[in-house]
Amino acid sequence: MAIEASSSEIAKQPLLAVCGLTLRYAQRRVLRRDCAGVTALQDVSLELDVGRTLALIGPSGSGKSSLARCVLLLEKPDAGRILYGGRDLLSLRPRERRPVLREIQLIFQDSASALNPGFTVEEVLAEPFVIQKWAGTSTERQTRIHEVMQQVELPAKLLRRKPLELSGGQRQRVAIARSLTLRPKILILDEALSALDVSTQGQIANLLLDLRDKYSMAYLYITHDLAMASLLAEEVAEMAAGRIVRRGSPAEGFTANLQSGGRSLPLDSASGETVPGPLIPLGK
Amino acid sequence: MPPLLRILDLQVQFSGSQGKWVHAVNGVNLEMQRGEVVGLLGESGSGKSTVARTLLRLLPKSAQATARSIEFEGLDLLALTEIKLEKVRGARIAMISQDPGLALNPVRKVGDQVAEVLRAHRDWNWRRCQKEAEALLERVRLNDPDRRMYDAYPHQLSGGQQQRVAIAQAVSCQPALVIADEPTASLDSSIEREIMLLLGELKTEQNMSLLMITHNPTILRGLASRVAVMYGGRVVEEGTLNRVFQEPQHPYTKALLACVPPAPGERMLIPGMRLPTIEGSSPDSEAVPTGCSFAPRCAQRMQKCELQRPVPVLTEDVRQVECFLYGN
Repeated sequence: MAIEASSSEIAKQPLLAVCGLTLRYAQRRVLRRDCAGVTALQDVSLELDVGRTLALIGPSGSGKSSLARCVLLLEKPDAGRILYGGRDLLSLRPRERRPVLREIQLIFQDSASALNPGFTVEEVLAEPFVIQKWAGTSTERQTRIHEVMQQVELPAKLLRRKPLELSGGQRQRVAIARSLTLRPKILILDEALSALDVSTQGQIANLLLDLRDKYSMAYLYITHDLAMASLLAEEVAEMAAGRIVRRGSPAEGFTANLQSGGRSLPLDSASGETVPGPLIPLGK
Repeated sequence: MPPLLRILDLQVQFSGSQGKWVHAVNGVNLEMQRGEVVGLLGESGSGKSTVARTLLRLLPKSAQATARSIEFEGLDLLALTEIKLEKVRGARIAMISQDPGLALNPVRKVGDQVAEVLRAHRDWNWRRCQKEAEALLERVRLNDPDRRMYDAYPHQLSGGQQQRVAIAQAVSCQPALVIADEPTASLDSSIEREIMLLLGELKTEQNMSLLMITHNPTILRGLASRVAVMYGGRVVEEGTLNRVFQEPQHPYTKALLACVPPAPGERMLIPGMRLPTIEGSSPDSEAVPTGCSFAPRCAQRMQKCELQRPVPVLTEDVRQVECFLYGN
C-alpha cells in the first residue's frame, strides 16, 4: 500500500483505491443548541478495477453518497487516502487535480435537476469542454458531441431541445452523454436508475452495461436496489453507519437490510452517540 | 349502487410551446366503487398524473379538460364552482403526492399542518384540531414522546416520516377517495413497503377508496384489486389485478410486465445480462395518432392498427382490452 509505488507496482494497482477514509461533519443537532460531530465515513477502504463495477448498497444516511463526494474531492476527508492510478488525489495541488477529475464523472439520480433547464442539449454537452478548458477546435468539439449522442443512442435532432422537453429516460441518457464527453475511466452512478420507470430502468441499465464493455470503464454504483446491483456489479459492498460492513459477490445472499439508518429526527438526544442524523456541513 | 367515481371520456390538452397542443389524456374511462383500491399503472408521460389532477381540478391554466362526465358522489367535478369544490378537495378527495418534501410547508410545524386540514373542513376550535392531529400522527406511526414529532419542521424528518405526515393530512377528514400519486417513488425500498402497508391498513379502517398511481407493477400487488393500464393517454387494459398480472392481454401490458426486474431471491439476475425492454420510445404527445398509440412499438402490430383506433373489448373475465387482437 505504499504511496510512492514504483511503476511496476502501479501497473498492478487497482484503478481506484480508497484506504481508511474517514469523514466527519460538524452537525447542528436538531432540538439542541450545541454542535456535535457526525461521522459520515469511518475507516472505509475499497478498490475498483478497470472494467469492473462495485455496487455500494446501504440505507439512506449510511454514507454512500459521502464516499462518492470524497472520491470526487467535493468533500475533504479527515483521514485516509484516495489513490487513482497509484497517485494520491488528496495530495495533488488544485491545478494537478483537474486532468484527473476529468476521468471520474458523476451521474445523479434526478437528471431533471442535474441538467441546466435553460440550456439546450447541445449546450449541456458542450459545457464540460468549457469547464475543462479543452483546447480542441469547435469542429472537433461538434464531432465529439455527435459521437456521445450516438453512444447513448439518442438522435441528433434532440440536440436543439431543452432538458425539460425530454422524457426521463432521454434526460438520463443526456446526463450520461455529458459525462462521456471527456472520456472518463470511472463513472460514479449515484442512484442513477432509481428515479426512472421500470421499463426505462432496463434500457439505461443495458446502455450502461454496453458502454462498460465497449470502453472498459469502471462503475461505482450507489443504490438501494439489490436487484439492479446484482445485475450491474460483480461485487457488492454494504454500508451501514459510515462503515463497510460486508463485501462479497451479489449472489452471496445480501438480504438488503436497508432500513433507514439516518436522516431522521434523532429522538435519542440523551445518548451521547454520534448517530448519523441530518447532515449539515458547516464551514466546508 | 352507483359507483363512487365515474370518469367518462376524459380528454386533457395542454397548450405547449409554439402554439402546439400537447395531448396528455385522450379519452379515459374509469370507474371506482366505494372501498376499492384501483391501480393506475403506466410509464411517465402516459397521462396518469394528469387524470389525478383533473379530479381535484389542480391543472394549470394552460390545460383544457373536457369529459362527458366526471361524477363523484353524485357531483359533476368539472362543473363545480370553486366554493363547492373546496368542500370536496381535501375533505372528500385527498391526494398524497410523490414528493412530500415539496408538499409540506417548510416553515410550519408538521403537527400544525395536519391540524390545518381539519380546521379547514371541520367546525372545530384550534385546540381540538391540534389534539386530533396528534392522534393522527400516532396513527401513522410517528411515535411522539413529548410532542417532538408534532413540533418538528419538515426538514427535520426523513423522507419516510414526511410521507407519513402527508398521509396523516390526507386521511384526516376521512375522505371517500384518496389519490396516491407515486407515494413511494422518492423512498428506499424498505420504507416503501412500510408506507404501502400503512396505506392498506388505513384503507380498511376507514373504508376509503384508493387510487394508486404508479409506474411499478410490483407495489400494486397485495393492495390493489383492480388495475387500469395507461398508455399514450388512454386506458389500454383494465381488469382485476390477478387476471391482468397473471395473463396480460394487451401487448403493452405484456411488454411492461416483462420489464419488471425480479425481486431479490425470486429469480437471480445474471451479472451483465441485458434486461428486456420495450423497443422504441413513448408516443409523441403533440400528435394524436389515428390508430392505436402503441402500434409503432408493438410486436404484434397489424396493418389496421395504424389506421384506426381499436374499441375497448370486454373479454370473458370482465376485463377491457383496447386491441384488435381481441375482437373489434
